[in-house]
Amino acid sequence: MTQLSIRDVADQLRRGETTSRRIVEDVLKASDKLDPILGTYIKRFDISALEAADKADQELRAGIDRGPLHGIPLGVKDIISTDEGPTSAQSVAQDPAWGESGDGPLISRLRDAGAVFTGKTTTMEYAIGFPDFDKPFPIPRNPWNTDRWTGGSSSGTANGISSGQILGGLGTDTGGSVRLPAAYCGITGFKQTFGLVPKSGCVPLGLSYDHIGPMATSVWDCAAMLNVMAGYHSSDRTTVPRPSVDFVEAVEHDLEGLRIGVIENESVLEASSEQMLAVLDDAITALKSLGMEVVSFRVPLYDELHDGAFLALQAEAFSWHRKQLQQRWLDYGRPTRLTIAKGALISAGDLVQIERVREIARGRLLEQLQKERVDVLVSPTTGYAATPFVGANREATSLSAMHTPPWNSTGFPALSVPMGFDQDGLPCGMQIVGKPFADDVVLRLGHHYQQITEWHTRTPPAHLTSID
Amino acid sequence: MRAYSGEMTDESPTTSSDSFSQVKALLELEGITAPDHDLASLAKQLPALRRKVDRFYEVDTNDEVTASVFRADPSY
Repeated sequence: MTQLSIRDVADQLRRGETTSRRIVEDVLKASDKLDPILGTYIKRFDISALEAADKADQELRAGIDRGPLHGIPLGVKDIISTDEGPTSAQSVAQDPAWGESGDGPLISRLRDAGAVFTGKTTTMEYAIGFPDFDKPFPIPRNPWNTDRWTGGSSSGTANGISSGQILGGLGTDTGGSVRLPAAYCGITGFKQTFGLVPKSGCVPLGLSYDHIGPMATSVWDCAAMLNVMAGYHSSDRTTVPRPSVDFVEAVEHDLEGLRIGVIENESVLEASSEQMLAVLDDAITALKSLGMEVVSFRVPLYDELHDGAFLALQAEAFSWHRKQLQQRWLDYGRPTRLTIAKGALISAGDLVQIERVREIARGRLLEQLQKERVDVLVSPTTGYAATPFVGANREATSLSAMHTPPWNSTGFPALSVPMGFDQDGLPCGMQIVGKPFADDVVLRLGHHYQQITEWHTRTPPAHLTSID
Repeated sequence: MRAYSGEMTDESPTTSSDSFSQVKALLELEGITAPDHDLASLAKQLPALRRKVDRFYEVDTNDEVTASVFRADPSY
């Protein structure tokens, strides 16, 4: 069996081979069995999802076609507010009144495009940290091996897509929280350029590092979601007014002249397993077969871009959580409160210096990309595949094994696509990074890669198609 | 081998009394009273955190680069 994609289901809907109601009923029925095992949802919206599916079917029958997301079941990470109910941020410390205003601009855009929201998906508390067995929330498990973590923090969206419970969904990414679970769960996840997509209506973590990104089985599906999500909105002044791009059309363009730099900083190579680097070598061979020139590339100030993301996001998170931490310290999970509290151990001068270095590093990187005529960079998304809940080795769980945070520091677009499996049969992700607002180029390379590989079509043992 | 301990961290094996009192004082300045076992954990992380921060002062930043650009009159 292969993964269902938004693209395939959208085609089936238009050919009259299925209906949105049938699709939504199927995925909800699958969730009845899979969700208790995988910990995908905080809250399901079965009734409103079926109503939305019926409306989508009626519209299609009446000739109203809202595009590829019309009638498609999507999940929403539970730090993003929707009309259907409260946002928990997976924390008992979260004010239940937060998000009472309902749909943010992004949810409105997706709803207007006909998307059907099946529920709020699990995260790590406040989108930071690791699974917390001490709190009254589901523990998200990996459909490829339920003794393994999904990666975080967009955990439920990732395992929901991987297991076929949803066809796509929203994650958020402050240091890698879209790309990391995408890599661990064998799906596709995209953190677009900072400022391309509004992030209003989302509980913030690192205010200048946060992105709400699309997650799905394929790059084409992420491009279809991004088409709806992208664009300036007055509620988020970090969004940039720019001419709109048709990302679905753009992914089909040819790759002629594209030059790829393979990141060879020691910090990446030494924090990746031999197995992961071997899988990446195979992926690079596949990229070369597409006719592109591939060169080695060293990212200037890589370590500063990597560590600066964590340091600064902790400070930014502290600014948002300070009042609540004063009053409800023990209501936060221990991993969460200790991570955010580190923001209090950084001085104002430290933060300014970290941000100045961020500016310098971003500029130097752009100069070097220009000088070496490199359009995109590739690396493993993570140094190791999904780690076990118990018995993980220190290298695999180290922050240095995450190769995602530098791109939150720069704000550059970064995509994770499945690139193979490790010796334990666990998915490995390849990260493709582009220049600012060259999101179409990143998606195009990922799409062409998925045209010559089938890693993204593989289904895990815990999947809609494998349950009775 | 370990289970997930949670925090994003590089811990020192021991906690110095200096680190403990520094962490306690910094959190109290922010109006936060944390239990000793949390302070001890943060104190273990403090030296590594400070080493990371100190590295940012080694980067050659010129006199013109700001942390962010404030616009009194944003164009949008």
